[in-house]
Amino acid sequence: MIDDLLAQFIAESRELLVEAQADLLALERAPDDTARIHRLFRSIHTVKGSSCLFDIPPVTRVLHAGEDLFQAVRERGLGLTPEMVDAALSALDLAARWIDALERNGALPAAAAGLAADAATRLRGYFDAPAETAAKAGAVAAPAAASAPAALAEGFDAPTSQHAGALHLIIYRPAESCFFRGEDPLYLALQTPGLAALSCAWASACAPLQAFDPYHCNLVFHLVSEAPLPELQAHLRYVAQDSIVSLLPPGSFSAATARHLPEPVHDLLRFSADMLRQPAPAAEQPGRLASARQVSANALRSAGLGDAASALAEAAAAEALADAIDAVLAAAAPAALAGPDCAAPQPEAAPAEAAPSEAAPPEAIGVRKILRVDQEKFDLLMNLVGELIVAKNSLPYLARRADEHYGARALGREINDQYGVIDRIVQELQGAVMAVRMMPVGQVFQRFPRLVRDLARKLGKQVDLVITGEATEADKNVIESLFDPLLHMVRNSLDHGIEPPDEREAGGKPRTATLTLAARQDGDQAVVEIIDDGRGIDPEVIKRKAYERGLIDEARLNSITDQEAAMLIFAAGFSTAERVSDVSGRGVGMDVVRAAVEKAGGAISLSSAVHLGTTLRLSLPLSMAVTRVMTVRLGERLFGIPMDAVLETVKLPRDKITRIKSAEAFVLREAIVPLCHLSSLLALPEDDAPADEVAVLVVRVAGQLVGLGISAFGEVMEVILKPLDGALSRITGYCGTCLLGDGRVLLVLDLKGLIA
Amino acid sequence: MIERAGGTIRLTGSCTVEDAETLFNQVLEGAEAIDVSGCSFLHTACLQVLLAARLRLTGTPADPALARWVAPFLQAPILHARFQTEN
Repeated sequence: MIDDLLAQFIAESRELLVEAQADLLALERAPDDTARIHRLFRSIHTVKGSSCLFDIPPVTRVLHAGEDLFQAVRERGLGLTPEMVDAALSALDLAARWIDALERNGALPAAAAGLAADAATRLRGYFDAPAETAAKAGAVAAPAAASAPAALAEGFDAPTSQHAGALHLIIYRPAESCFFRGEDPLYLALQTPGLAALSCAWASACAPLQAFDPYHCNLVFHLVSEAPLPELQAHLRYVAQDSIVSLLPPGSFSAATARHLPEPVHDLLRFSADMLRQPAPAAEQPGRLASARQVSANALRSAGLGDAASALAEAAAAEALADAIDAVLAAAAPAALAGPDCAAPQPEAAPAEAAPSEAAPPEAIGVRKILRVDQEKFDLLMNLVGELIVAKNSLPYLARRADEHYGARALGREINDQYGVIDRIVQELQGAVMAVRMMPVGQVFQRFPRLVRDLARKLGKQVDLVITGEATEADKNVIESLFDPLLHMVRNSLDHGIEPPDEREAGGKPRTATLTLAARQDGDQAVVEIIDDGRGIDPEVIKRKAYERGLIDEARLNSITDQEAAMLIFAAGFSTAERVSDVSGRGVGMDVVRAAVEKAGGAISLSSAVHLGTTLRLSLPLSMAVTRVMTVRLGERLFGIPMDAVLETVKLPRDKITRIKSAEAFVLREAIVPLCHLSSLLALPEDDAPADEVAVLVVRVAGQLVGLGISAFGEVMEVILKPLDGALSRITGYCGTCLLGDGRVLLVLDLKGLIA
Repeated sequence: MIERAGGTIRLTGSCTVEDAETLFNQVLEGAEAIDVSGCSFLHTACLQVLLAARLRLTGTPADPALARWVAPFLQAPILHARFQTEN
């Protein structure tokens, strides 16, 4: 039993950790992508934050270290090295593993605490922090050294301004439960060294007074301090995760947000107005006035309100300037607020609770609603649609019976009309259900950047992974069946296809290889290609190896084409690796890949050119839920044959059949095609009265054309194929069963199992 | 300490985290003003109740830090803000 909160945490954390991993990998390639680093930081921050709700300190600890590392990257411009990425990735893995364990066992493994400590130490080692406390203080963010806004600093109250150093803005949002931990945020704020301004606001929309909870901290403090950064960090070390220190650069007040004053600008303005209204010795008055005017004007200009700034310049007296500032504040901040009794949330404040965890750009208000549905419920829906299709298919039988058996032709026609209507609705329903099951291929692809990166590092190769067409959609089952074969093929490309950098350079190629994962939709197939620009497959080497391993005989060795030879890598027991590495090359692999792909109803092909690279192409059905089969009759029995194997139907006169010893063959467009009789394959009695013609279904089995002799062709239909299970699962030669409209069971043949 | 004098709630001496509930209950019972002149220490929880109550405040806190930094924004309407991690 896990409670809902934990289940939600697990699901959310998984998603965020996956996102974080993708962002981290992207950052390694493009370290300047600030949007990524922000998102990465936020993902980890969110998971870490929610992890505090549960008794899983190792997770919190590891993520905290990761968060601190990324904060250092984000705000101190710490460069990400591959080693740091390694460490961070394995920390994310640890967290992900523990979250899995949490779901399975409701607890973390016993060794977690030790592992967490190691991982955290490793991570903290990357941002020069001699001790744990210093590391924590580091989390308070050393801002990137932007040019100190001298004008702003000058503007501050002369007596408190010991030095014309930089000003720091501290945004401190105490945890909601902080009172229960004995914290007193106001006290901490008041004790801030070099305090130059303080303001306080609701962190999220305030509840009506009746529902107000005095012990639920809902405040955010804005502080401006003149103290140097290390001192601030030391001061805030215990609330490092709740506070952000940033330098106050004028450029950071984006003009884009000028319609509502940015909070720092607002705070500075109010600070200035407050200061002006406070009694001061006459000697200080002119200085105060000048500095307040300058601070306010600078702040306004930085917020893109240049005209308001010039208006302030006209105010001569302290009181007049204070009033002018108040006027600006009143005009620019209509959101001004909001005690408990006017709790109507401002639109921009609506997702306030979620604000720390979400990017929540203003335009994201009309978010698409996404429903998470248990897959079991969905499978049930899918089965019901399948049964509906079967039930629907019985109507034409009924119509025929009405006509033939009861002589009610008119009724039969009406049933057929109704059938048309129901058929259309069922088809739409089926389409809709299938559409829900469709998933973008990107779901599988997103796991590869990490894999490729790790493998390439392990193998000492340089690889750029290019992913295209990740939006291509296919059925969930298809997508899920795709991962293992892809993984194997990518490993193979990295291990065998792509050369080490030096070898590439010697061959006149760029040191960094390109590995492309490309997906596209081609008719009712999803095609996925794995393209590398490595050394390619040398057919001569393959032929020799295949011969040595006894996979082909001497005759075949001499007749085999290069293309066919390349396909030999899919034969069982074939491995061309000079040495066995732990990446690939144990001689199992490509044949397993082929088997898996074929099991999913797909096909695999390969093209390769020596020194230029290899392209592996997987084609998979878009959907596995509905199979198109052709029914064939053998005597009185009906069988189904998957349509993707059927090439054509031929009526073959008996005299065109050539006997070659015990085998039969016929000529189809100048090619000899072997002929098998389905009856003998299934060990069923032959047709009693052999006709002059044999109905032959030309099918492709394992790449070879075969003619399949049957009694008569039936129709093509879409069926929901049910695999043989239970006691039947051992029976070979059938890939499954389905129900026909008249209630009969149709056996669908597995031609490969029958013929090969 | 939270004291009551007619329509006025008086904050005297240290107003601790425990006092926040008393203060809140006093506010709920209805009051016209809050006198902060005797206040030498104000816990955040009490501060929050003062901000939520939106009652007229009288006097200036005895503590200089409170007088300098907290009194001004206690008087002014509080701004609704959102905490943004990324800024």
